[in-house]
Amino acid sequence: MEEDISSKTVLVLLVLTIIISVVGTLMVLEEASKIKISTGQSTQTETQQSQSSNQVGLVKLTIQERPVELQRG
Amino acid sequence: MRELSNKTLALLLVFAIIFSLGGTLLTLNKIKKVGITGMVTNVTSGYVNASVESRVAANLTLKAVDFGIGYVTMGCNNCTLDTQGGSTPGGCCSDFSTAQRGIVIENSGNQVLKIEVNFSLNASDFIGGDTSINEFKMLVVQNESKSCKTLGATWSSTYANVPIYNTGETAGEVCDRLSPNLANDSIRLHINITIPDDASAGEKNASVIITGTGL
Repeated sequence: MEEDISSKTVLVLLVLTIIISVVGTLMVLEEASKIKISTGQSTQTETQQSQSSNQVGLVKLTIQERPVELQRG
Repeated sequence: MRELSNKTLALLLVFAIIFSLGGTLLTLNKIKKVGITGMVTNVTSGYVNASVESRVAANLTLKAVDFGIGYVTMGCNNCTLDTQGGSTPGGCCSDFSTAQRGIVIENSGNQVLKIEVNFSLNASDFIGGDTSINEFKMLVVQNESKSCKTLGATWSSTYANVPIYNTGETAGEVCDRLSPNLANDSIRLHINITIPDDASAGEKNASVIITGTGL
């Protein structure tokens, strides 16, 4: 009958498995944390320059010659 | 039930190590190639760019005052008309129109405006006649409540001479901040003229330049 491996070897393999699992998980978590999705954050840039708008209105009237009053008699 | 041998356990652990390593590497690889819609590649943040264009626009919703055709009644030495329906002294203004309602300035853009006005002629050049009698004045009022933060002091309490740009006077600031808010965005210029009885007959025109400057 083939000889079985020692419990010590099994223990070493178990520890190795745990270490690899923990290190792998930490690496995945670290990479995942680098993904940054910005939500609703905005940078506002205001460009302002002096602008103006012109309109022309009018005031008018026409003055008539005053009617001449005729004297009777 | 037969117990597992150490060899079998070791074999299972080796498989566990292989799956763990393989899974980790695959996950890391997928994360690096991750394609989330909207995510910009190779930068840590993205931008959504939206521009609101500023628009400076002063509009005259009532742009002319026409007192019509008339004369100073016999026996009177002057006639005063205004755009608030006034005609004084009583009976001295014959046939002129008293139905005028002034000039209305509206902020039709989306920026707060400073409003300045300047007329082309003063009373003597516009109306003529006796210079001690003729008058060409204006009064500025809110057309819609609270449209202007502060109306020009010279013209907001009583009628005062119109500002004239061709005599070197500076423009008349009639409003420091005219709101662009649709319900409160207009002011009104009332006009008041006094015609002496010796003013020459004929058609009289004076223009007024309204300047709205974005703040």
